[in-house]
Amino acid sequence: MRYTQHTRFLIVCLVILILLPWFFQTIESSYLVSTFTRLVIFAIAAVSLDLLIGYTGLVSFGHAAFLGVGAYTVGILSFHAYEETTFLGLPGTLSGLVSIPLAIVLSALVALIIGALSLRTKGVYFIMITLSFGQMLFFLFVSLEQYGGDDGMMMFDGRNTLPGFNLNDRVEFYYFCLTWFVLFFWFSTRLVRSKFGRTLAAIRQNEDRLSSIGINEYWAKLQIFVIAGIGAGLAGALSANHTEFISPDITHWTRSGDLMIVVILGGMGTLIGPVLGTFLFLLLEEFLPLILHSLGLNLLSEHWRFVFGPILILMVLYAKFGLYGLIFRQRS
Amino acid sequence: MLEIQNLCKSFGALKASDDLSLSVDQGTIHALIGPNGAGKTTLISQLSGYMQPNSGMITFDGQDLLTVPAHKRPHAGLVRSFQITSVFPELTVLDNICLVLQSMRGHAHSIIRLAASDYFEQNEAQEILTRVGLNDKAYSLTGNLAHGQKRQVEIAMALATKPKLLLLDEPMAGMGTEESLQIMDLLNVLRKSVTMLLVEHDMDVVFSLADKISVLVYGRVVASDTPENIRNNQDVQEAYLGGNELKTKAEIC
Amino acid sequence: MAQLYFEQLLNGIQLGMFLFLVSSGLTLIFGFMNVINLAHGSLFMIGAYAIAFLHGVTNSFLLALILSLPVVAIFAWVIEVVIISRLYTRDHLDQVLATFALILFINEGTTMLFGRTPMFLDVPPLLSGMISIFGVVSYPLYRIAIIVAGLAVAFVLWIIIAKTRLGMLIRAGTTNRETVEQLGVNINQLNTIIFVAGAMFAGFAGMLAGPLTSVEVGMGENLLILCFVCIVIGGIGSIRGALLGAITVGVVDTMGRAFVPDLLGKFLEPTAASGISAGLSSMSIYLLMVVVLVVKPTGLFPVVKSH
Repeated sequence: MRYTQHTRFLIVCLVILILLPWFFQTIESSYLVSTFTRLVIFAIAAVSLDLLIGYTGLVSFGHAAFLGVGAYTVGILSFHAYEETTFLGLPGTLSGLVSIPLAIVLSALVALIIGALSLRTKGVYFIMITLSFGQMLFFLFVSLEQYGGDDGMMMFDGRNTLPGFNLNDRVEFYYFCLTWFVLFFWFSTRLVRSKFGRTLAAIRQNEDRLSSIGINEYWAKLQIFVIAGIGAGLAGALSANHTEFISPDITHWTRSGDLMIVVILGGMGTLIGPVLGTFLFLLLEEFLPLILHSLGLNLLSEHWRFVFGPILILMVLYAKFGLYGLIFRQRS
Repeated sequence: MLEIQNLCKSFGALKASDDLSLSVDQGTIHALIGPNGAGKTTLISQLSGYMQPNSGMITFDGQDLLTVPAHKRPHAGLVRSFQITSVFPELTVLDNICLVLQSMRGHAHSIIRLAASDYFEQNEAQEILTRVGLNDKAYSLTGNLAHGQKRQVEIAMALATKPKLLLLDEPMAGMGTEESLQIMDLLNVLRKSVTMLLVEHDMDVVFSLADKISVLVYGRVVASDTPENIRNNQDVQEAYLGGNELKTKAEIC
Repeated sequence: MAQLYFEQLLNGIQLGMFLFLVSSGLTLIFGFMNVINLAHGSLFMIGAYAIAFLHGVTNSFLLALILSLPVVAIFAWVIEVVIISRLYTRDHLDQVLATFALILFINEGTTMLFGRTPMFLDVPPLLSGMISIFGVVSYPLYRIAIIVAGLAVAFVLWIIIAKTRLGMLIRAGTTNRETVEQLGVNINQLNTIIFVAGAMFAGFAGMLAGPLTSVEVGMGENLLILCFVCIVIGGIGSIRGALLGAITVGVVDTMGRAFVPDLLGKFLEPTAASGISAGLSSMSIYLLMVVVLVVKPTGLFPVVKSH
């Protein structure tokens, strides 16, 4: 019964998302399409993190690392295409058919390495080691002076190309990202309902028991770690395209924190929750200042985090079921 | 079926297993008794692969068990149950069993196979639940069950692996009389198809179930014999502090 | 050359002292109360801002230092009572999220009070100037004072932990919490005391750091992440480990930054070397943490829990 409630909700959301650009055009606020593109991209990253935190119980504090890998893959390829130079002997490219799959492959590779090492630890040590890897990647990107270093770099030739489409068009790019989002969301839904999904639930509930029923929990965790890394890498690649700008900030540890907040705000372990959380978070970011301003609280409107912080603390302490719980009236 | 030779395991100065040797024959229920701290759970941990011994040999079903990693031992036919019940509380009872079944079939990592649509697996799980007497609780959340029922789920999970040897670490711990009898009946029925190594304190259970008893004291086996002979064994009586612990419940109360 | 090495070594030890002061509280809070407190760096920042502001008001470093201590203490007390105390029974994820949100709140509040321009503070005249160390190198007196202060705190902590009843309770609680509760001790009071004490060490470090660095929002977080490395290397719950870890991290980080560029310069072209070396030296500490955890997944000197 829960599934039909979900499915109805999802279909309604999907229809709304598909119709949005047309709607915005009618009310002459086409720039809002860009806001929703950002939402959809961030939602991919949030869903991928939910697979780790919500379903498997792996608190990764370095998930933003993969955003960086995806973004810089696209960025570096674009840079060399623009400069007409080579990277390790290979030419750059602006082709979306190369950049995005490559971003995915590289994210998977980096996730494999980071995961293989990090998953040897558990609990707070796992949190620490993933944080460290995130930091390492941050400083690595900062040190790449050729690619902007601390300041970052722009994609001077615009977004990636895709035969038959013009991704530089705001609306077409929105549908491009929406397609990826729908694909990844559908994939994640299937994954959590699969036998592997059951394995993940088992890991979260009682990980020590797995080996005694014949499952190698290390490999299972590594498997999901890589899959989640791919999701974030994809989001990073899309994000780079969206803003046409790549900087190390996308890998800063506070980004990892933001992702975690979004997953919890929305309701972890639900997949829909993180999407709702992303929605709420971005909405708050855009509109809380305006709301506070209209309430006459001008000082706070600039410093909305001052209000947001305590709200978040209260949610963590007393309303952990998040938005999902509020909407579907269930504990996640 | 199981041959343990000169097993040694130390934790610093403490010798949990001190040149331990033990033999379990196929098709028997072999009980392991001994005072607290004798090293019974350490032995089970080494058999299940949770711990590695410092030295010694363990041969299971003809192969060297020490080369088999912990998560492969259930696939080889060696399964343990836990002294403190350990199940997956947020899964249904049926799912707990299905999880074991999917693991045995090698589907634990499969993204493609959906969990809810494998009717073959679910039927098999139902069968196992019926065997342990839990089929009416198939769709209950395991976390909500009574202690004794959780223990039944554990045993069902062990059965789902189609074990050759079942390591039972104090299966009666924390059970009421009626629950204990249920489990005992179950073990009696299983005796024909599964070899068992049973660690237990409850002497009633031990003497009524066991084909053979080994006594473990300070990490070594001091006696290994039929229940009658063990009962009359002077050394064993002494080792148990003047024979007190060997009295059955009936004799004490 | 030896002069340069020695100077950088001293710099490393001095950084280590800051790290120790902040890490000691962090490791105690984590070891005793099993709480990950991401906002611990904020207390460092609060100490720095307090002294910067009070120095502006009183024009006396010493007075500002003395007055800043109760400011930090009150802050810490409020944070503990209102938020941290509710996190003791929660899992680490909740603690990470709640304290992360706390950082947002504190950082934003600080910006509201003091604006975004960094504040600066001069080294107190009494401690300015140089001092000769073993006749080898001329080194800033203030930095020596910091090293001395750090060692003094370490000594005081050692006395408390090893020789007093409070210390015994702390040691016991770090390995086995239930025992301490059963001793009839008011555990809530103890939690608050330990938290506030740990916070004050961090705040004290912030006060000392005032003259050396620009006082700005975010200074706490940068230090905090390094502190995590310290306590993982040294072992969570161990003060001795925090000192060991802090000095190690301080020295490795400082020496790394000072000498890696030269080292790499011998192998690579100058332009490539400078960029990568900056990255490498920043990365070095995290690399160290990863290596330690891969080899020993529970840290170098884990405090073994006995429950």
